[in-house]
Amino acid sequence: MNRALQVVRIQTFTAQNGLTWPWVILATAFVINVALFSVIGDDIPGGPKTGALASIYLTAAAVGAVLVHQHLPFMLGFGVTRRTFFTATTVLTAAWSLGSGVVLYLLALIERATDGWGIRMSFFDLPFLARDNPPLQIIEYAVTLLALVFCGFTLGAIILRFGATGFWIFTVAAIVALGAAAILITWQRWWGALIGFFADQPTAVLLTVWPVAIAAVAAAGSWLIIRRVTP
Amino acid sequence: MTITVTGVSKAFGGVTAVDDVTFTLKENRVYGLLGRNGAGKTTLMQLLTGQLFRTAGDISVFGADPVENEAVLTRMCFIKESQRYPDQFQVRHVLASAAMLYPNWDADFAAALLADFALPTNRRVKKLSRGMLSALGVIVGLAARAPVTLFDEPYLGLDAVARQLFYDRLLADVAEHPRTVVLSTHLIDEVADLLEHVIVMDRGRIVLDREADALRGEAALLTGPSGVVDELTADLDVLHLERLGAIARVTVRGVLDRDTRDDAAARGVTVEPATLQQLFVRLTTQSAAGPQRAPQKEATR
Repeated sequence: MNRALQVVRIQTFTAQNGLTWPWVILATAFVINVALFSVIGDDIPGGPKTGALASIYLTAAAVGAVLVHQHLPFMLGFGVTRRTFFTATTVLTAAWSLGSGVVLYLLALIERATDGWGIRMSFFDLPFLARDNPPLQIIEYAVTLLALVFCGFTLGAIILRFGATGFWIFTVAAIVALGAAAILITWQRWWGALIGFFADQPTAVLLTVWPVAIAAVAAAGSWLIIRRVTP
Repeated sequence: MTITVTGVSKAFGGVTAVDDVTFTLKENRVYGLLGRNGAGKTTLMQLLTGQLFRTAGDISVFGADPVENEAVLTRMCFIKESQRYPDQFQVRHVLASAAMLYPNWDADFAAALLADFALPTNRRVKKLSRGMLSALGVIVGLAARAPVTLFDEPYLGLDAVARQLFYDRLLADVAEHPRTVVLSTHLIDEVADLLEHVIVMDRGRIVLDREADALRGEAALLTGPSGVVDELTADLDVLHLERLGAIARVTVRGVLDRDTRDDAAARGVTVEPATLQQLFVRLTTQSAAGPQRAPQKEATR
């Protein structure tokens, strides 16, 4: 077996390695939402719309962080190169993101067929998704997951290489950078142009091209950190 | 040469853990890497296995640089005390990982070793005692049968019986499946018979690199009346001197010639070869105590 695939196999030895947790959390959020809107009843115009799908996206970031933080030091000690680990983890999380995208799409189909789980709830089949284009809808789910996984991957790599202090310094630096950008945009009165720039783009572009760009930047950043990491 | 190390240094900030080290390791020999805590042994082994990045020098393992080199690293197994495991991993997950990652893995041998060390396979690695954790490392290191196997103090928490078991299994398996073994240890007397070659590190440098057989004549121990011993050792390289009342006990470097030995015997001074452990202690306390020619005089009751 190819060594990267062996590493993938080892990463999936234990179910609790992070890959199942986003689904556990999403399922919990789903049950709570169904219960909540069943109690409220059917008096919301157009049916209840919930943003609880975000729960799987936020925990996807944890998946990336846990994989790198738990498995990389172990693998380095067992003669796996940083490059192979990075390749394996990319393959694993990309497959997971795509698989999750397919499952989310199938759940969206059930939601459509059952008229919103019998309570007209929009949970998976959100109105801004490409609902008339199945492959595109799957990709929209998947690439956004992948972007968050890679962001978590970068955070895990930062913690592994620079420690908790490094992580906090990075966080402060990120806040300073974003704050400075906000000040600059406000001062130059660029907000209108910026909002217009995004508003003019089709939703499908916002939900595919931008997540892919974020994933690519995070992947490159995490590789730069991981290539010099020591156990 | 299986491993060639040339002028290798590793600095952490201002601290030089490994300082301009040069040596070679031959195929299918058992090496002892000895040194006090902080001598740089672990750092050196992490450099050999590409886990750390060297500051200077060259390392060649099987003719190539080991850093990020899959072909080289699959043929090396480094068992270190500080190995980390995923939180959820049980012993069986570690063994299954090793079976995949080490091409020469012998599952039957691993099973036999598991029974020898009475290690439960379904226990979480996090929950293992210090000794069990060491046993896990020993099992992986032996069953991996990697052409280059490095053990960094693999015995922590193991009792005397388990340690002897490790030495016995190592000796028997290396005889049957020859490979290059590097054993870093503090328990020198225990492994002295196992070692074919000894490398002693002190403060990041190599202070001794010698065949084990040659070491038997490396240092001698003279014990007898102070005046006679002082006279006999006046022109010798004194490594250490102890006085106990009128009796002196001196460790000298090198072999005494026949005349000196006869002379010593006639004047009531016993001459015996220093053990590896005695030599090691003298060599590595020396640098802390001062220059070679001014041995510390310690009063012993």
